[in-house]
Amino acid sequence: MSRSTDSAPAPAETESTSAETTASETDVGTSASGEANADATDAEAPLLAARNISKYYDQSEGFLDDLIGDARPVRAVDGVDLEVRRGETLAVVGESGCGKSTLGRTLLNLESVTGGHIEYRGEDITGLSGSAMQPYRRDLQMVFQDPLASLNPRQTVGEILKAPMEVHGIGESDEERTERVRELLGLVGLKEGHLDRYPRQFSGGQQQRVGVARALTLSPELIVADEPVSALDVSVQAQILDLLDDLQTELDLALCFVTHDLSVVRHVADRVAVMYLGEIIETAPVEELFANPRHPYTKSLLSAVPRIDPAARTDRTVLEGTVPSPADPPSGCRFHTRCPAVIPPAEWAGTQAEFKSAFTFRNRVLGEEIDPEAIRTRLSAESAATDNDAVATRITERFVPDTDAQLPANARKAIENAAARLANGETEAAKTTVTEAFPSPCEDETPRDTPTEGGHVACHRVDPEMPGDPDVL
Amino acid sequence: MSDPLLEVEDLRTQFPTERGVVEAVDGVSLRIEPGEIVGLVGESGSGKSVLAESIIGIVEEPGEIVGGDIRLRGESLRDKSEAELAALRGGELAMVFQDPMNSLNPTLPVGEQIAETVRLHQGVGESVRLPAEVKRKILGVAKNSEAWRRAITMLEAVEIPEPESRATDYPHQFSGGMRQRAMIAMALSCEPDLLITDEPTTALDVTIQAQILGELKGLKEAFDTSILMITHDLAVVAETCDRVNVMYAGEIVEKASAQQLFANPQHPYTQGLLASTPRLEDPNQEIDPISGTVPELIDIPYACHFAPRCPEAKRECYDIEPEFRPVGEGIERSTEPSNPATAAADGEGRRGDRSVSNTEDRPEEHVAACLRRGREADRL
Repeated sequence: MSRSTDSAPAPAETESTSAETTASETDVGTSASGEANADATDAEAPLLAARNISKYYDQSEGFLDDLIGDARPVRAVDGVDLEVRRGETLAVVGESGCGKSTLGRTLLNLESVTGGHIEYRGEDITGLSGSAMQPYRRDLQMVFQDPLASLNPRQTVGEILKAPMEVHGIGESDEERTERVRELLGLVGLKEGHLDRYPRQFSGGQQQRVGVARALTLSPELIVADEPVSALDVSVQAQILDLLDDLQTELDLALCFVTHDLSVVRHVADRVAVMYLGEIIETAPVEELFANPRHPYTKSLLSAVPRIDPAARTDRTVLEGTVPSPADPPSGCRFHTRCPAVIPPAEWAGTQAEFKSAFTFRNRVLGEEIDPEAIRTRLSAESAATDNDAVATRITERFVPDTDAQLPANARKAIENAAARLANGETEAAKTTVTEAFPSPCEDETPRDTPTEGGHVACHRVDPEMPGDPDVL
Repeated sequence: MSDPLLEVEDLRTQFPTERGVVEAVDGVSLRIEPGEIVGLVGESGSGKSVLAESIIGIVEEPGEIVGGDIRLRGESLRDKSEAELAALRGGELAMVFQDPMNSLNPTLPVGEQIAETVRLHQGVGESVRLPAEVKRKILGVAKNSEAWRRAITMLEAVEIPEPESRATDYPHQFSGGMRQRAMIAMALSCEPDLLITDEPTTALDVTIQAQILGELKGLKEAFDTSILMITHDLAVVAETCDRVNVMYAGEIVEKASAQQLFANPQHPYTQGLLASTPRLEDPNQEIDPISGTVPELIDIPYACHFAPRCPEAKRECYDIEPEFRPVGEGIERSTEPSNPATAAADGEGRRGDRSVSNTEDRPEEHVAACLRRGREADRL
C-alpha cells in the first residue's frame, strides 16, 4: 500500500499543468489516447477503477496522544480493488461502519487516499485536488444521503443548479444556463416554477430530485450516490429509484450506489460489492449474488433481511458478537471472529457447529468478555458456593452450554481448563489455553480473492487451495 | 374472546400552529387483544407516532387530544390525572423509542436506570424518596438490592452478554443494538401489559434488527405482553405482527391480519405501499411508486385523504367520507398467529380456525376505508 504513495504525486503534477493549459501537447496526447482506448475496449475498460486503495483516519489528537495514547489509525477502507464500468450500476453494500461511505467519497477524491491509485478512463487521478481535479469533476459527480444538508439553504434551486455551470464555464450567458436548468428540472420531474424556490420549501423527495439534478448539470459519466433514498419514505424512495433508473438509461450514466439496503440493491444494481470492515469480501453480478451468495458474511446478511412473502423466508444465520473495531481488525480473515463457517483445524474431531461453539468461547476469552468476579457476585446473590471451582463451572455452563454442542472430550477439557484459569484470575494463561486448543486457518492467512461467476470472493472456504468445504452454510 | 387490552376509539389529536390546526390523529379507532403484536404502519407524517404519544399521554404542548377515548382494560385513560398516568407509564404501559441514545440518561449506568424504573413501579420495598435517591446517585445502587438484581435479570433476558458487568456501563459504552436492547429491558422490567415500540429497529443494521425482532417475539411470550409496533417497514410488520393497521394522513385506512393484508391488500394506499417496496425475494418485481407526497395535515379539504394520490379516485372520493367496510372472503380469528413460530407456542386448536361468516364487531375483520372497496362499492 505504501509503495503507491511514491508514484501518486507525479501524475498530479502533469494533470495540474494540463488543466491550466488546455491546449498543451501532453494533454492532447493523454486524452486522445485515453479516448481511443475507451472506444476500442469499451466492454472491458473500466470507467473508474480503484487499485488497492486505502483510507486511514488518524485517531491521535496531539503530541501526548502520539506518545501514550491509542495511535492506531482507523482503517475505514483497507486495500480495496473496485471497477465501475460505463453505464452500469455498481452497488456497494455493507453495514454501518464498514467503510462504504468513505469508499464512495474516496473514489471521487473527496477524501485523499492513504494508499493506492484511482484511475478514471485509465488516467491516474489519485490525490488530485482543486484545479487539477476540476476537469474530472465534470464527469464524476455525487448525490448525498441528506438532500437538505447538501443544498445551500440561502440559494434558490436555480442558483444551486447554475453554480456548477458557472464554475465550469458551461453556457454562454445566464439565459442559456437558465434554459439548461429548466431542462434539468423537467428531467428530474420538477416544474419550471420551482426555479425560484429555496430547498426548505420542498419535500424530502423533491429535495433529493434537486440533488440529482445538480449532479446532472455537468452531464457526468459517473455518479456516486451515497444512500440516496435512505432518508425517504418508501413511496418517495420508489419515485427516486425510478428516476435514477430512467436517467441512467437515457444518459448512459454509470452509478456507484452506496447503500445498506439489500432489497434496494436487488432492484437497482447490475453488480454488487459487499464490504466488511474496510474490505470488499465479495463481488458478483446481482442475480448471482442473490441466488448464490458465496461468502458466509453475504449469506448471513441476506438471511437477515425481513421478507414480506412468508414463503420466501429462510432460516436466519444469526451473527454472534459485535463488529470488531476497524482500528484493530482481526488477523487473517476479518470476519473470522463472527463467521458461522469458521474453518476448524485439520485434527478437529467434532462437527462444524461444535467447533463454532468452542471458537466463540475462545473469542470471548480473548476479548476479555468473561468477567469471573461478576459471576462470583452473581453466585453469592444466589447464595451458592463462590469458590473458584464453582465460578469455573458456572463459566463453562453459561458460555458453552451442553445443549449447544457435545464437544469432543479434549475440547471440553480445554474449555474447562481455561474456565478454571479465568476463575483463578489467570487471564493470560486462559487466553493461551484457548488459542492453542482452538486454532483456525481463518485467523492465520488473509483470504485471497478467488474468481467466481462474474466476480470474486475472499473466503478460505471458496479458495480451492485452502482447507474447508465451500458448502458448509 | 377475551376483552380487549386496549381500545382506541375515534381518537383526535391536534396541534394548533400559525398556519392552522394540524390534525395529526384524525378519528382513529383500533384495539389490541392481550398477547398479540399489532402493527401500525405508515409513512412519515402519517401521524403514527402522535397516536402512540396520545395513547401513553405524552403529547407535547400545544398538541392535545380533542376527542375520542383510550381505554386500557375498559378504563378510560382520558379521565386519569397526570399523576395516575405517570404511574401507569413504565408500569402497565411502556414505550421504546427509535433512538435509544436520546432515551437513556447518559450520566447514569444502564443498570441503575433499569433499577430506578423497577423501584418506582414494582414496589420492591426500596425507598424512592429524595434522600434515598440522592444517596444512590452518589454511592451507586446497592448491588444486593432487589431492584438491581431485577435489572441484571432483565439485561440477561434481552441477551446482553455479561449482564453483571455491563449493567455498570454507561449508555455510550453500549453499541446501538445493545442500547436498544437495554431500552427494551427497561420497558419490560415492570412487566407492562402493553409495550409500544416506535420504529425500534429503524436505526439498526439488518443483522441486529433480525436479532432484536426475534427477541421481541420471544419476550412477548415470556412476559405475556401485548406489543403495538409502529414502523414504516412493511417487511418488518409481515414478519413480526399478528394484525396490522395501515395509517395514512391521520387516519387508519385498512385493518387486517398480517396474513390477509399482505396476501390480499385492499386499500389503494396499502397496494401502493406494497408496490413501492422493493422486495429482496422478487428479482422481477416492477417497482411502482405512488405519485405525490403525504399532504400536510391542515384542513385537508377532501373526504378521502388519499384521493389526490389515488390512481382509482373518482369525484365522489373527494366528497363522501369513506367508512370501514369488510372486504375479502375469509375472516380470521385475530388470535391466530401469523407465522408458524408463534403458532407452535400458541397451542393447538387455533390454527386454521377460520370462519367465513360475517360476524359483527369482531376486530379481526379485514376492513378498508375506501369507497371503491367492499361489498357496497358496487353501487358507486
